[in-house]
Amino acid sequence: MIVVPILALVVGILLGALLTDLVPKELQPYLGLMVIAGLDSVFGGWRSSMEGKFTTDVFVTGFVSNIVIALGLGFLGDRIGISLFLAAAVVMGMRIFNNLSSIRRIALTRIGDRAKRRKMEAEMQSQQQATEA
Amino acid sequence: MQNPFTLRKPQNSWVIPVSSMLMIVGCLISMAWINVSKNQAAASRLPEEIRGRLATVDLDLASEYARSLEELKKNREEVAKLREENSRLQNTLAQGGEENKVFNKTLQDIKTFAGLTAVEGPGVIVTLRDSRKSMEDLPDPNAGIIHDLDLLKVINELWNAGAEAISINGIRVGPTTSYRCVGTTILIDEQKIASPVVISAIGDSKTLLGAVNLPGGPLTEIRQVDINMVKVETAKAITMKAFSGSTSRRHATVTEAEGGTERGR
Repeated sequence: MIVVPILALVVGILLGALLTDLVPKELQPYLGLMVIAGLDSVFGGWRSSMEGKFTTDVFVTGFVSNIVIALGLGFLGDRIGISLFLAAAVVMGMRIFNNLSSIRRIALTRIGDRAKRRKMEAEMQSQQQATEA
Repeated sequence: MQNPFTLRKPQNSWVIPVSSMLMIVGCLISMAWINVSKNQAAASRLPEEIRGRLATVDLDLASEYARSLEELKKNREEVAKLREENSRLQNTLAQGGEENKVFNKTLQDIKTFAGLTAVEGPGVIVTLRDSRKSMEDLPDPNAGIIHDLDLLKVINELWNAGAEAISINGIRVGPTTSYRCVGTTILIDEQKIASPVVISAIGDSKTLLGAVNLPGGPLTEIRQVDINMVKVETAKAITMKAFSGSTSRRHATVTEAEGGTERGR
């Protein structure tokens, strides 16, 4: 299941390499910001799917609005002479860390749960064998 | 009995949206990556003196500037070559008759006077360099640096003493040559030079030597700061390239009394 998104990422990177020249000049300084915004949304989506709260519409709108807002902030910051893109980069970077730590915690619980389940199943089996015997 | 853990299994509905968004993110990543590395490559190709100021200038503008500098240099070489060619052709043309010969001689004299021909002859070489003394040993830090004004004074003195041709660090001085201080460099016309400044002058060696060494002359003050900033030597043969600057003129016309031929312009 995890293979599909990774494959998509690789395809995206190759596609981006091919289409680099199509990026308008005005957009170039904000590409990095857009990357962070996109990564933030993707990790958010991963986390919510781990928590079982994933909904497609929230994810997609979040992704789009994240990128648009980051772009807008970066642009506005450049116009008015404040490095607003830093604010966006810091907040989104922080969120990426938070999401990753949540993902890690959930994954750890899940592994623990799996071990527990195996143990319980083994116990149940041995109980069954005991009753059969 | 139902497995109590089935509820925790993730739903697969996230795979497609996350994958498609990841594709977009991948796109953005490689675009940003390639862009940044392109810019860095462009920056590293710039000449040293512009690279330091990159933070404050537009990268495209800087590349353009570097390119035009390069072009200017090439054009200067081209101009020098063409002028040489021109003189050669004029000489060939003059072989026709006595009249032509006289005419060409006058022409070449004028060109030499204007610095448009390569010349050689005896003269002096004045080398000015920034002081190597430490800041504390100097009366003021500015005194240890060769300025455009020092240059100007020396050249003025050399002309005065009968110099017939002057070049600075290989740049031939023409009738319109200007000397200007820009930052840490001196501009001779539009060409940058820095310490050491080597001024060569063709003329009578003894007269020129005496003129620059005159007490109270242009070098006295510099020598007082640091004797090592100045070196003056005579030379038996100095070769100079032709002036490579512009000779075009747009405003001045020759007056009628001087030469009617110019009226048609």
